Amino acid sequence: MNSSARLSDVCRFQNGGTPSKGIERYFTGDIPWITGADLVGQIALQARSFITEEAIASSATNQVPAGTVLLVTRTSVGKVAIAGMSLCFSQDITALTPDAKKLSAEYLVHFLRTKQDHFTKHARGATIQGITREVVADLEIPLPSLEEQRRIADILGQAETLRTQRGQALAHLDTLTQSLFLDMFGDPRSNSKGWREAPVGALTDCIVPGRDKPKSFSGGIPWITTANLVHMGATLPLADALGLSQAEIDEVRAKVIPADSVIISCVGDLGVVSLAGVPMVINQQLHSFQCGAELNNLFLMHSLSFQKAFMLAKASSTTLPYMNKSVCNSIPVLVPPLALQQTFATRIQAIEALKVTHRTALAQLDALFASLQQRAFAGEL
Amino acid sequence: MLTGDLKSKIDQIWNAFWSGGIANPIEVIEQITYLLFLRRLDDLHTLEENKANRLKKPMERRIFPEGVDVRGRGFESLRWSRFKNESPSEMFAIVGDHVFPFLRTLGSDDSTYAHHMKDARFTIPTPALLAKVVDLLDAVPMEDRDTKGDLYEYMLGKIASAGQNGQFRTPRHIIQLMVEMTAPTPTDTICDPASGTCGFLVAAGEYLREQHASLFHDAKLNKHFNQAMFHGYDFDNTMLRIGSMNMMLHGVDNPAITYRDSLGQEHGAEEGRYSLVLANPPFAGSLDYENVAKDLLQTVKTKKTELLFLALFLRLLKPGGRAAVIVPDGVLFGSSKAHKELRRMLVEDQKLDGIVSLPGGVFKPYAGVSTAILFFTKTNSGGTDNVWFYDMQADGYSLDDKRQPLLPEHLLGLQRPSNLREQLSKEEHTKNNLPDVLARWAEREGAERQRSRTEQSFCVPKADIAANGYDLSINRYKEVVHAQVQHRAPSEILAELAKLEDEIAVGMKVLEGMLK
Repeated sequence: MNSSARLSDVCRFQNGGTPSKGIERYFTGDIPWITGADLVGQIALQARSFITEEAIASSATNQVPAGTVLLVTRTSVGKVAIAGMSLCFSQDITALTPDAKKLSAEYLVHFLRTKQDHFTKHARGATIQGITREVVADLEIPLPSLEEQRRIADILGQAETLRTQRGQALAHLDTLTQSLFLDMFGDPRSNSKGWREAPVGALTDCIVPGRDKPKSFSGGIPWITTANLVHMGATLPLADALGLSQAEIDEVRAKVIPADSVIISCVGDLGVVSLAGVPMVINQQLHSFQCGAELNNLFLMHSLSFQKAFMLAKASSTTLPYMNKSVCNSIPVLVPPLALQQTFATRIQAIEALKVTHRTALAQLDALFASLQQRAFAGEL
Repeated sequence: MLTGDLKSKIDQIWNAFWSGGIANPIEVIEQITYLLFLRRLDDLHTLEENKANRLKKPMERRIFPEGVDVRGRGFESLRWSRFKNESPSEMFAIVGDHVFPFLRTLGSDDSTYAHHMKDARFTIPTPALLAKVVDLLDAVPMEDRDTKGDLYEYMLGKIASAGQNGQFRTPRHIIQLMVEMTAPTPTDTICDPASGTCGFLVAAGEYLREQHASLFHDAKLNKHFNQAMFHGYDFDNTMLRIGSMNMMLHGVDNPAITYRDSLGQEHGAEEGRYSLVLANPPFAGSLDYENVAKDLLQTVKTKKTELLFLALFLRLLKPGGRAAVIVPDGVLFGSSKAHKELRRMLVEDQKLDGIVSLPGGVFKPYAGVSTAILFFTKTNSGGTDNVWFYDMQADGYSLDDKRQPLLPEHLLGLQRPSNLREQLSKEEHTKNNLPDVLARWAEREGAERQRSRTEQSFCVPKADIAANGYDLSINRYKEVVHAQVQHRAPSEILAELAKLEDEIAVGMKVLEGMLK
């Protein structure tokens, strides 16, 4: 079995600091100075402030070389990164310089990542949460040979890369749907392809929800509010969703909207759009359209998603923006031939299916990474 | 302007009250108001004394009578300059048992301030606190009109920063903007039917002093200014006292700051008396019909206070009179019958001049409601032809609960065309729209007509407004500019996806190899 060591025995710790903000010339230098917020990703390469030598001399901050491990110990406790350049840092960050003969920096980074829960648990503070030096210094780190450490870091690094790439692929698919729409129909706001244009109210039937909130929920027809909407997807009732009986629906003079209606939020967070997955009752913050012979519902949903600026501009507001029925019905939509809309819908469905596969793959990679991580520091990899 | 030194003196007085056990800021300002008033009485008395001495005649007008009060203490000893030198316990007894009872009898004097002293209550709890406050107040210079006005305003600001009752206080730069846009003249008769601390009246007075300084050389105008120009109503006695003190310290001798339930009392005598109404009435809330003045219900049948106030303004104004009032956005687009009717009246029967939509956070931290300033002229014969709209996005302060200034002090607030201050740069304009509002308002009959509806301000012809059911919300008329979106072609994205897919496949093989 491998040996282990107290972190403070194999690492040198350095504190950060902030040069006095009142003295402007301190911030006119060329030495990068970062705060916890600048630590995005695994390598710190960007800074928003640059300070002078004089500023370093007159404050608690230290300059560290590239390759130093940076751990956030105040505010968003537990973020870890490697310095991608020589830099200075604020008091929110502690720098760890491993003893090069005993500990590899990459290995240390992966080790600190596994301690996220430990750090969160030990964070203290009334308004700003932070951990003390001891919480980090007292950690017991397994110390296999340097060669073995590098092997472990490489494996975890590789798994991490795969995870990131899968996430990127998923993000690409997200932009693909929008891009596909723009490619087929042009920008609906400027109607660059010159389609016929009409207010949505002229092409659809709309059901305005009852104004009263039901007093009881004892039936099986789902009751849907803005919070339940799946933006740009199909809204299905959750397992614990409230449901209404026909009697309860009649009592508040509500109406059931059919499946495949396009739903849009019209109070507060305007323009969340979705499709009704099943027949449902919606509350008064939502508005639904039933497509007539000229519109495909998926196409309509995507069209509406481009009109957020229009909605915000036309909404009235006292404390929250609000669209009434006539504003909702006045949102302009393009009316390309139905066949083209249906082609679009088919393509979108194919992309959505692909996204599901990608999400599953991403979840698997997450599980793989967690498993590797756990084995790595238990000496089982 | 107030110096930092003076500000810290005021802060000390305030702290003394807090640590002395009075935490309600309204009560603090009320007690300070009494003490300031006492100090002023003493000064007036001294003035009369000096005059009498010089002329070798008996005093014309004695504020503190000769002889003793009902409890047998000489009136002479009730003067500020006398009791301030007493020991704390002695002073406490004098002020509590003699000075305040004397103060309450002053009502017979017909000045506004004395009138509001009739139910003065002394609530400072300990001799030590009284002695401390008297000491501190005595050190504050009250000779210069500018200083004492600013000083009182600074104290009123504390009511706001203390976070209570702040709804009484409209931000001063918004008040100044409204005053500046309505440009009061020396012959105006100005009314604020929900006057609170009298911020609007004070600002109007200051504007006149600055822009029409010569009015004080004309005996008639001077008299009008001091006796007949300013009218404020409120139905909170404390606010009346504070408001009238604010006016007095800003050098208006005898403003009509009086008790009046603006919505509840009939307005027979008030009707058509004023040539300018400036107000930020309390919004929201409903009254019962039986509590609403009948004459207002004749104009518009509603229980909503914000609509009733609008009806009230129309009543109060004389033909040709103008108004600048703050209303919640709901008034501009509300769809009830009363809402629509009132808007129709403004557009068709009177002359609606302009609407400035204010940014949402102007009244933070008290309220996040969206509001607008409505400018109209009472004509009784219509006259609306184009309505000027301005979409104000920034007022120089952050629009969150902190309301921190976004620019250095000299760039905040307004900028008159006559002022030599440099124009705000484009970037500064995005933080403070006030100077631009004023500049464009002046052009509303000219260049503004040409502006397109995608700009920050524009004019809308009456016919358009009527066609939209008299909806006055700016969003109804504003047009949105579409930014062209740059998008990548689907084929490009697909190619990248394919490349990623390959990389992932290779990466998986590598990882597999590592784990062997």
